[in-house]
Amino acid sequence: MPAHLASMLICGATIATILSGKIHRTIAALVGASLMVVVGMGMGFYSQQEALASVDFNTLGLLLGMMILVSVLSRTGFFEYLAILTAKKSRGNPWYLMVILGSITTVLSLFLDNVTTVVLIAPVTILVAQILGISPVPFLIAEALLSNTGGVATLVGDPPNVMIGAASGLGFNDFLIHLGPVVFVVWLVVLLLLRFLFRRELAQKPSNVGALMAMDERAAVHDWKSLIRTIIVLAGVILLFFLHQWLHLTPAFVALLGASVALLWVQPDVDQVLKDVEWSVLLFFAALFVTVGGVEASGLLGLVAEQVTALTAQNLLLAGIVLIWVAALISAVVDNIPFTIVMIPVIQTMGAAGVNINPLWWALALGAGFGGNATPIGSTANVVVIAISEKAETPITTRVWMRVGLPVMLVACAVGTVFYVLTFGSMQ
Amino acid sequence: MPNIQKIGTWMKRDVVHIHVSASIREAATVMVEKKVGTLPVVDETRMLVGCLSMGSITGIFLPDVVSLLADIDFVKDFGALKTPLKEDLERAETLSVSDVMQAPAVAVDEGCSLLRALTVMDNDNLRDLPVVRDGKLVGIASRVDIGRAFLSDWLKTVS
Repeated sequence: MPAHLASMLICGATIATILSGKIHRTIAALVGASLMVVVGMGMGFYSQQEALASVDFNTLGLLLGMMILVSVLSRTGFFEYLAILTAKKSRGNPWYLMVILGSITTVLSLFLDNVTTVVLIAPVTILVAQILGISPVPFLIAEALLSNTGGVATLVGDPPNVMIGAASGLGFNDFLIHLGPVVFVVWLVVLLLLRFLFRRELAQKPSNVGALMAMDERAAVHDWKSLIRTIIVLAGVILLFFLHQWLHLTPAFVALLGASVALLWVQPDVDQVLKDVEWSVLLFFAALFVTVGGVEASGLLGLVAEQVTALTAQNLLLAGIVLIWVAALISAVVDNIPFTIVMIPVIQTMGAAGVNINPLWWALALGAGFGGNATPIGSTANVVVIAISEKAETPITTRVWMRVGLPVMLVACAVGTVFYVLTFGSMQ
Repeated sequence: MPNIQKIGTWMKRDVVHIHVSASIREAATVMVEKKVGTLPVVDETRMLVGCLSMGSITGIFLPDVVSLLADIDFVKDFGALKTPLKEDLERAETLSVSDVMQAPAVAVDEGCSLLRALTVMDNDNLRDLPVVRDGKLVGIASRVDIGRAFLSDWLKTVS
């Protein structure tokens, strides 16, 4: 019992500190992890070896590999090229511009990190909107929301999915089959909802359409040779993601293999490329794994799982629905990563107790993914888009965000719930 | 015999400068009329309290989004961005020199060597370097002034 209590206190205090934002989340997680190991060793429930083993290198490897690939690609000017090329297709019509830039963001987010995607697309969006003399705010919000939405569809789309994939052993195609159709419908519904919610802003009359059409997307590319090479490698990586279960390759290996090939073929400035890797994010995840690993080792998560199993085993359908909405509500107000990392061992323990946990993985992915749309702090993509909007002096206010984000989150979760109920039989 | 190795020998003694309480509009007027890109900012006792560059004034009108992009070669026509925003124009009217200036100013003493003056300018990416004596503004040297002095000194040594 004292071990349960100690691990719970350390983990709880760590997560509370992360959520308070008083200390950088990576520092908070590292201190929490160290404390967990020290106390765990002292009380005999956690060893250094167990702490190391609790770090999910599949998650870290996949994220690292994709971050390196994106860094190499972004240096060629590809993202600006793509954004300008497609924005011109709108011929200045605000609604078409939203559909086009939003869809580009969704598609990129299927395979790339959401934050990276919006960091690269948002500045071009602001530029295009300002050249047209219209407010960039609706487009930026649409991009963040659609990026969060796209990320839910694949194993590599957002960090909760990466973690669920690594822990459950479910593959890239499993994610695409179970989550792809939901995300496609949600994407359509969200676009229509955005059109309705931003109907006034989208009615703005753009000026200077000629200036938009005069933009030369080819001038955005610094290095065609590197661009083509990196695109070929990325295409190969995506192909291997589709095949990884048959080839018995882990997604992490595929991503790191792609990163190595891209680095070898393009030979960029390695120091510059590695500077773009978000080491603080990787370290944050690693430290959080060690912290939650301590709670697991103390036996507390097992006890929780037993209780949850007792409550839910009778009605897995209801349990999944509850999980979708609880995950969504928590992800709306706090970072969805700590919740996902805590839930994973709970679900795994339930699986070990004989519960069919497959539906729960999908419920967790849907809730954690869609929930982040509701508030400005719900996902990192939201935070980053708002920061960019402030730098460009076209700030997105919390009120404007909530007016759109909250309905989008509710509708997305409702669609997710309907799909969950309809496909529940086939998930058994 | 003045020491040609010192910046005090090569600087301009007639410095166009501005008082710290002046408005940005007044500073801009001085820059346009006197054709200078840097205004040392002084107080009543001529103590150097800051430095105002032309870039920090034009920066008020530049579109902020430009700073977010690595390069903007692909933009051929800035469209609606060509007209300064009403907010920017209004903001510029309310600003004073002390809001925009770089403070404390990067400056050197009049006894400073040419080589040191050159490295200070390079490190801080300055076009003009104010020169002080006991903290009071006594001169200013441009990149060309110092470069010319430094090079002519070097040419003499070689010949």
